[in-house]
Formats: sequence, structure tokens, C-alpha cells
Amino acid sequence: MSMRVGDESGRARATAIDATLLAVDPVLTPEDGSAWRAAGRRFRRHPVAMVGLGFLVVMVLACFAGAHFAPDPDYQDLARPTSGPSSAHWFGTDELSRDSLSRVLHGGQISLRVALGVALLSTVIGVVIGALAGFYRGWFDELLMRFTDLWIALPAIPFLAVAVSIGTVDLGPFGTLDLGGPFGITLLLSFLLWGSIARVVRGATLALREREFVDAARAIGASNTRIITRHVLPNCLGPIIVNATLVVAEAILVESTLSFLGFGIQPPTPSWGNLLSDSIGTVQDWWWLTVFPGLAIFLTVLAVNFVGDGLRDAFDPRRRVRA
Amino acid sequence: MSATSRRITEHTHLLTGVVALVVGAIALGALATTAGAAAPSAKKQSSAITIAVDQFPPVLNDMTTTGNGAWTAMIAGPALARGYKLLPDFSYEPWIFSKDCTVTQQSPFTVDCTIRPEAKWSDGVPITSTDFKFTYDTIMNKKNDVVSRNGYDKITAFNVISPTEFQMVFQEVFAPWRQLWAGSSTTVLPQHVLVGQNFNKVWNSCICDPKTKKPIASGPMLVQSFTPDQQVTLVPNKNYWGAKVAQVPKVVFIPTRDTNSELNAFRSGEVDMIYPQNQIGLRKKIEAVDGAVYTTSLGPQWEHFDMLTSVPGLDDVQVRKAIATAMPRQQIVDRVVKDANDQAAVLNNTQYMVNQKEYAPHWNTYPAAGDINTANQILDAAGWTRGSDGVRQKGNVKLAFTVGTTSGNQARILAEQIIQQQLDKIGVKFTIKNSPDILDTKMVGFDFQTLIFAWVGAPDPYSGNVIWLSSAIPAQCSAKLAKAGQCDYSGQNYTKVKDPQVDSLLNATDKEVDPAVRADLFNQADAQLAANDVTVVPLFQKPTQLGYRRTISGVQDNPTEDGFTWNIEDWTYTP
Amino acid sequence: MTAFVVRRLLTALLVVLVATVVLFALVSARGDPLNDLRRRPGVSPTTIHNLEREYHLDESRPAQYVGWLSDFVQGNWGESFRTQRPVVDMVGDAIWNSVLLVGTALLFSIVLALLIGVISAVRQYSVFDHVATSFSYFGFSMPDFFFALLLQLFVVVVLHEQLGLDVLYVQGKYSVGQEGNVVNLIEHMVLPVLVLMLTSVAAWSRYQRDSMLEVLHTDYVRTARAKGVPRRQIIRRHALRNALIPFVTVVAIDAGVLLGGVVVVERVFSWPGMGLLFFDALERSDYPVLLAWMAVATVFVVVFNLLADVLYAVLDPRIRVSGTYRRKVRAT
Repeated sequence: MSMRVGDESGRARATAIDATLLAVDPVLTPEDGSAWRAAGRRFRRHPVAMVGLGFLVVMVLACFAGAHFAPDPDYQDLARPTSGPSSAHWFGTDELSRDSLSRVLHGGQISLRVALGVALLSTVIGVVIGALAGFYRGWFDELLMRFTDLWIALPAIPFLAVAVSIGTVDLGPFGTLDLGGPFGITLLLSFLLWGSIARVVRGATLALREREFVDAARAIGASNTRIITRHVLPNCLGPIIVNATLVVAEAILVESTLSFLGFGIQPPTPSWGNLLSDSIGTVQDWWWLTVFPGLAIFLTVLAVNFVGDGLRDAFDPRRRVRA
Repeated sequence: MSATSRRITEHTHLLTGVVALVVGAIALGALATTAGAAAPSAKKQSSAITIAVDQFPPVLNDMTTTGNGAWTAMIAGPALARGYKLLPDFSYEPWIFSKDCTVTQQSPFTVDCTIRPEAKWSDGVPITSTDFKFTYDTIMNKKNDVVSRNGYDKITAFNVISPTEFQMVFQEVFAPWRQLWAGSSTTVLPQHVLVGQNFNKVWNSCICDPKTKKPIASGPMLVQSFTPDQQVTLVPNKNYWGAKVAQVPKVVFIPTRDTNSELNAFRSGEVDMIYPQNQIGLRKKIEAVDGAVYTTSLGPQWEHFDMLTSVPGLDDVQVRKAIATAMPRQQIVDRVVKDANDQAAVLNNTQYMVNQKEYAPHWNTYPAAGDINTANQILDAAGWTRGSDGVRQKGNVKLAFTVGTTSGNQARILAEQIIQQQLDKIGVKFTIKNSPDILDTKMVGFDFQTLIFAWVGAPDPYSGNVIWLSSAIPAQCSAKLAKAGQCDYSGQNYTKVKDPQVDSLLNATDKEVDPAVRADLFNQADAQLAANDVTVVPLFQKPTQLGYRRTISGVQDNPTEDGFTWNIEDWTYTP
Repeated sequence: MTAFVVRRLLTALLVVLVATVVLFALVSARGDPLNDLRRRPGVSPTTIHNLEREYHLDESRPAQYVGWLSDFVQGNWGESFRTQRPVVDMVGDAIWNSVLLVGTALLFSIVLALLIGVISAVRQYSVFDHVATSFSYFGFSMPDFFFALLLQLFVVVVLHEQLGLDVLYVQGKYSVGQEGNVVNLIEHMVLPVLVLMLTSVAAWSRYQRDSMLEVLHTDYVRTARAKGVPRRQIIRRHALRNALIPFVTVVAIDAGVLLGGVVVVERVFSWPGMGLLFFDALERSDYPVLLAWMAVATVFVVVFNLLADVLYAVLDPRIRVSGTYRRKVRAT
């Protein structure tokens, strides 16, 4: 028997990506490895997810390893004019005759690093807040959830833009932090995107705290923290992972939007977003400067979504509503 | 269908969809490049000539520091006549003056001007010497926030001889006196309307009689309305006293956010004229619009790279010389400017433009293509050694600076990146830091380290003296001084040049009436600046780019301060 | 019911207050708001002094916040540092323009999403369903600014230049001299609205499809089918109504999220709404406008959240009866 533990109001997270998932059901996997192996098998039988995963592997390899073989992204070959895709420059060259492929790959490094960092950090934040809310309930829980709802619905871009415009902050003994740099943006985005994970963990905590094994654990004197970390969390790892994947997709989109608008990674450091904004004036003449970075973002996010879909199916095959 | 095969079909469809999209995007791109032949663009029926403005004036008064700007001059200029008109060939044409003023006496230096008897304001009141005197008094009034008093402060007596004749007596020989009554920042003010008014605010949102709010003008157009950030509308001044009354129905100026919006609006027929900032590929796009004309000219506008000498590191002239030596000026011209104007070239003089006969390329001691080796040698010899991060330093000071310009200007940002890349090779690190109002606030407050922007000069280099004279360094406006009301904004020596030789040479030009000698003095000053000071590195003479529809005829670009609206009374509009 | 609403209202108020503290801290962390103004030549010391008093800048930060909050609540939003126009006017104008875009996008998105979602669910696994699914994935993986650029390119290159069709515009609200011309307005709105609709339709149609499918497979629907109730009737009376409930609440929440999308769209298409207002204020450090903007945005989002809550409670009788959600969970 599985309890359908949606988030308490039965409505999905407000953002576009999650809307497709309804409320993610945590599958109450037993703590042995066979469930994981079963999930892995189901994932592998999901062609689209595998293609997505394959694409992501290729993208990561290209951006991090492949970039070493690509020419210097900042080298301006000013003697030669801007040119389109050719055997020498697969993605063509840009306004200052820099190799476009190299810039896309290096931009990918930043985008991917930020996205992964955000996924990790926001998961940590989300888990903590969700577990606390689900476990202690009461008005604390209610307030936290209202806050989470608000947080999810806030327009990310304006708040991030203002935060980034603060510039460099002095953290005293910890040195300085440039809010517009990759690390700063990772932090800011994490503070914004923990909501869905918190919701999921809270839902799972709410359900699981009523179960027998929790009562048993309490009977032998386990503290709340121990119960949360050893019993509750491992059981909702599935949905956490799925949501983390979606956070990756959203982080890529938000980061690139931010740099597109001019508040993020600044030129000449390439990022997919600012490569696109640089190309605005020359879209017609030098289409490769727009199409390739744009496709990079689109295809990567698509691949992540496919993988997320696959993971969701893998962890809860019954969730997919089929006759 | 089984669940699995259903899933597979669904997934196949999904993948096909994605593939189709990718192919579509690339096809779109390829299509875009093959597109080139212009299809007929729609003609928008309109009863007004619409002009796009990329730096919309906050207020209409071009003489105040708030309002002063190239666009303010071009927009409000047609409404306010000056003593002289500035012609595209850099010469002065008497406008309100009946003829070129005469120097009646050498000592004390006296200039006598006569006004055309037919000159009058749109309300019928004649333009008289009283108006000229009133303008002079307004400029000299310390309570008024005028851009510059330079030259006017040399007048010891302003004598009104008759309504059509007045006399200026100077404390010493002042050669560039024509400049006092030419150019849109020195328009003649209507005494009968502005007397007793607060000059700093009176013409913020209209050129009018503040008591009746009726527009007033001495030029061919009237400013009918002004809505901040939205529009300025000019209509012909029916009572214009000049030879020709304007024949255009209405001229509307609207703001655009950037060059791309301007171009799109031009293409779609929403605006009829654009005068955009330099952008790569712009010329081709304007020429591709059916029925459009593209003109470009080289005028006394020049782009330059400024270094603030009070910044540690930049206070060492060897550093500045090294930067100038390494600066890839030719590459910047080739990538960023050549496209707009085939004759664009590196500028090697801060006083005269390439197409003026007095031009002497003193700055060619700094190779146009940039010489990395020599620059490295200069820095090595001066004791600047490379740190572990490749950036040179000496003691505590690192050669790492910010470079700024007006944001949104793609051409300038590209120039910044070219400079950044090249100068990295000599161990000088530049970080780009742009902002939209960098010239209004950061430059004026000395809140910058290096800057790229353009000066709009005049035919006579005299007006540029305020950039070089040590007496023309505006007082650094700290919060404390601001609170005490002691900020002095006059002067435009933003790099803080302090060279006594330059001072004496330039001050001497004021007194030298012989044009050949004057030119020589200015050139000597330029040579000195190039050899000794190197604070403002001239990059190139900035070409103007004007695009307009063939429905407007009579247009002639004027790269001087008067701008392309200088002959608006000659325009005809046949939509 | 009233107790429920009141309770929600109070929590919402608390959340708004917390949010305003956060955003005030953010904005004031940028430094002295009068920094640039102090350096500007045309501004006199008296003006600066007056501004300092008006914005409580000579007091401590918490006092500043309280001062600003009370001013804001009373409607004294100050004047823009840049244009000296009252901020209330600027925000008022901008809001109408954004509401125009968002409202239109919302309307069309709802209709389209419902249609696509229901048809997809009813005709599961058909070609339509597959195409709709592909489209959904496309929709929420595509960055909206890239899509906007592609649309602009398409209109300029294909429509204007290749085909000579001057029907759509890529920037601004009205063509010059055409203010008030509805057709012209529509031609300017098409592209921005399309971009706004992209993610919403993709997400909502998917959501509606899943929701519908779930309902279609419940026992009572199966029973109805077994009893021979006509299919149309089942869809209309039982399935749709129940599937609509969560859909409505998602839409209500997402309406607040559309504010974020509007910011990007307005920037790319130069639409004079809240998005552009925000960027100009941020770029030029127009402190009063910035603060007012962020406060308005927060209130807007919270109000829509509240609306969603209330709507959901109204539509789903189970909630009303049980009063709180906790009980609902345990009862299932």
C-alpha cells in the first residue's frame, strides 16, 4: 500500500517545469539496493531518457575535456574577417574573430558548473527546510510553507538582477564575494530554487513520520535528527533526485537569462547567455553567433528534462498514468 | 498497442520533433544569410517626419549642464538661432549677425557686431543687442548652471550701442571670439521672456514664455511639445525672419533604446531618419532598406581613450606611454569604424582632424597597430615587473584598471575588448565596467580609471582648451563639498592634465590672431601632449552615420555641433 | 470558510512584510542611493539635503525601512531621481502596459492549454497527443529570450524582407503616430504575447492532460462509462470539472510567475511596461522607482497566491469541510 502523499494542497509547484509532474510521489523504497537496481533498469529502458543522458555526457565531455583542444576563446584573430562555419572553425568566428565553438564550450563550462552547484546547494537547503517543516509541523510548518509558496512564485530575474548589481560584498574574514561571478550566482540561484525540493521532502516527512518504523525508532530512543537523517530522508531520495534534476534545468535557464540581460557573467568571459546577447545586432548577417549558443541552451535543458522524466518513471513506474 | 511499444512510438515522435526543430533553426539561419535582396518596404503614411533619438535629452535647455548634449543641440537648435551658423565645411556663416563681426581695436581688444534688422522672435519682438547682453549676463551669473563660461569670462565690457549693434571689450586679445556666438550651446536668449526667471529650470520642458506657456523661437522651428522620455515635436515657425520658412509639416523626435530598435523602426517605416551610434554592419542594413539613403561624414568628433592621472599606476607617465604604444588603434578602426566610412583612419592629433589642413600627426610616435615589444620594454625599464598572475606591479600598485564607456554601445564594447586583449600581452589588465550614464555622473565625479568616449569639437580647436588646461580641472565633487555647495563643475579636464607648457601654449592661442601662428601653437601643444602627458589617446575621427528616406530631400549631414538639423528649413517632405 | 480566508490573509500579510524587509535590504545593500545624484552638476546641495530627508537617509537602516514602509503604504512613493516624475504615475502607466500583455497571454494560454490538454488526454497516444507532448518539451526547454530572437528574425527576414508582408512589428507598443490604433497595437502585441504564451501553454497543457487522465481513470468515471453514460457527457460533467480544480489554482499561481517572463519579453521587444521600467531604474540606480517596483511585484505575487488558495478552497468542497489540509492528508 502506498499513500498518495502529494503536497498538502494537492496543487503542483507553480513553475512551468514542475507543472508537468503534478505532485511528485515519493516512492517508499525499502532500504536495500534491489529497488535501486530496479530503478536503474527501468531508466535504461527509457529511450528518450537515455538519449538525453547520452547528450549530456557528450556535452560535459565537450565542454570540459574538449575545450582543451579548442583554440583560446579570447584570442582575437583580427587580421581575418568574421566568417561562418568552416572546417577551421566549426561554429564560425565572432565579431572579433574569436573561435565561436571554443567560446560556446567555455561558456558551457560556466553554465554547467553553476547549474550543478545550484542543484547541490539548493537540495541541501530544501532538504533541511522541508524536513524541519514536515517534522515539527504546527504554525512553524504553516509559515514555512506559505513562505515557500511565495518564494517559488517570486519573479526570479528582477530579484537576482538587483542582488547581482550589489556587486562585490565584503565578508570580513571570509574575503570578498563577487555576486556577479559564477560562485556568487550559484549562491544566489540556490537561495531561490530550493522550494520544490522543500515541498517534496516535507510531504514525504509528513507521511513517513506516521509509519511504524519511526515509532519503533523513537521507542528505542532515537533523536529526531537521527530519525530524519537515517529513516525519512533515504526513503524520499527518489523524488529529491528528480527535483534536483529539474533544478538543474531551471538553473541553466535562469543563469543564461541573467547573463543575456547583462547581469551575470560579463564579457569577454563567454557564457551562453551573453554570447546570445552579443549577437543581437548581427543575427541576420552572422546567424551562427545566435543559433549555436541558443541551441546549446535549448538542447541541454531538453536533455536534462528527458533525464528527469526518465528518473521519475524509474522511481515510480506506477505514477505514469496509463490504461 | 502494448505499453512498451506505445512508449516507444511516443518517444520517437518526441525525438523527431526535436530534430525537426534543430534543423529548422539552422535552416532559418541559412535563410537569413541568403536574404539580402530587399523587398519593397511598406511606406507608412504619416504627416510628420519622425526621427529616432538614442540619447533622449532629459531637459530642453542645451546651455545648462543637465541638458547639454549633442541631441539637445540638434533638437532644440532649430528653434534658437545663433550669431553664426556652423557649416559642414567647418566654416562660420553669419546668421543673426548681418555680416561677420569686425575687430575694431586691438588694444583693448574690441569686437563689434551688427544684427540683422529683420531678425525677430516668433512673437514679433525683434532680436536685439539687449538679448545678446542678456545671454552674456545669464552665462556669467554664478547662480546659473551653465556648461562653460570660457571666453565670456574674458569680456570686460559688453556695450549696447544700438538695438542692432553691440560691442564686446576683452581684457586681452581673444582670437577665437567667433566661437562665443556659434554652436548650439550658445544660443541667444529672449530677454523679454526670460528676465527674472530661474534659468536652471525655466526651459526644462519647453522653449516657451514661462508665463503664457506659448512656444517661442528665433529659428525656423518652434518646439510645440515635449514629453520626457516620449517625444519632442517641432513645427515650422511661421514668423521666421530668415530667407526661407520651413516647409516640413511637423518633425517628431522619439527615443529608442538602442541601435537595433532604431534600425528595426527604420526598416518598418516607423521612423524616417536615424542617426545612430556606430555599429558594425549598420551601413549595409540601412542601404538595404528600400528607399533609404545612407550618408556618412567625418567631422570634429573624435573618439579617444582617457586615463585618469590621479589613479595609482596611471600616475606614471611611462605606464601611460606604454599603454599608448601597445594600443591597437588600427585594428580598432578596421573592425569597428571602417565599415561605416571607407575613409576612417587612426587619428594622430588632439587639436585638428584628419581632413583639416592644419593636421599634423604627432601621435604617430605611437604605432597605429600597437607595438607590444616596445611597450614591454618601456614597462620593464620603468621597474614594473610581472607578478605571478601576469599583471605588472611595483610595490603595492598593480597595473589593473577598469575601462568604461556608455553601455549598450556595441562598437565601443568591442573596442574595449580589443584593447583588453592586446594590453594583456604587456601585463596590463583591464576590466570592463560600463554604465548608461557614465558621462553624466562617473566622469564628472572622477569615479573612473579609464574611459572611452567622444568629444564633439568645433572648427577652431580653442573650444577644446578646457580639456587640457590645468585651470580647467573641475573640483572633485565629494559628498562633503556637495553638502557645502562648493562643487565647481566648470572645466572639462577630466584626466587632470597639469602641464605648464601646454597651459602657456594654449593660453597664448587666445591672443594670437594670425591663423598660421595659432595653428602652430595648437600643434605644439599637441606635440607636447603626445610626448609628455599622454593622458588622452586619440583613437579615430568618428564618422557620423545618417540614414533617411528619400521622401525627405534637402538633407545634408553636418558633423559639427549644429548637427544634421542645421538646414531644416531646406527640407521638403513628400510622403 | 471565513476563518480560513482570514487565516490565509494574515499569513499572507506576514509574508509580505518579511519579503519587503528582504528586498529593502537588497536594494539598500547597493550603497548610497544618492551617490550618483551627488555628483551630477545640475543638482544643488539643497536638493540633495531635501532628498536625504525625504528618504530618511540620515537615519539608521531599520528606521529607513520603517520610514519607507509607512510612506509606501500611504501612497507616497516619491519622485524618480531621473525624470522627477511621481513614481506612482510611472508605475501606473507601466502596469497597464504589462497587464495588457500578460492578460492577453493569460487568456489565450488558458484556452489553448485547456484545449490541448483535454484533447490529448481524451485521445491519448494519438498523433495529436504526441505532437502536443513534443511541443510541451520544446516549450519548457526553450529559453524565452532565444525564442524571442528567433521570432524577431523570422518576422524581419521572412515576413518583411522575403515576402514583403509588413504585418507584424518587432518592437515597441505603437508605431509612431498610430497611438490609439487598435490594429496597430495588435500587430505589436503578437510577438511578445507569443513568447509569453510559450512556457505557459507548454506547462499547463501538460498539467491539464495529466490531470484529466487521472480523473478519466478513476472508479466513478469507469462506472459511468459502464453504465452507458455518453462519453461527451462524462468528459464534460465529471472529468473536466474535477480536472479543472487543480488547473485553476496552478494558473492563479503562475499568473504571478508570468511577471518574471514579462521582464525578459519587454526588454527584447522594447515594450514600455513594468519590465522596462525595472531595467531603467536598476541601470540608473533610480532608488524610489526600484523600491516601489519591487514592493508592487511582491504584493502582486502574494495576492495571486492568496487568490489561488481561496479559489482552491472554494472549488474543492473537501477542503472547506475539513478546514485545514492536515486533516485531509490523514483522512485519505
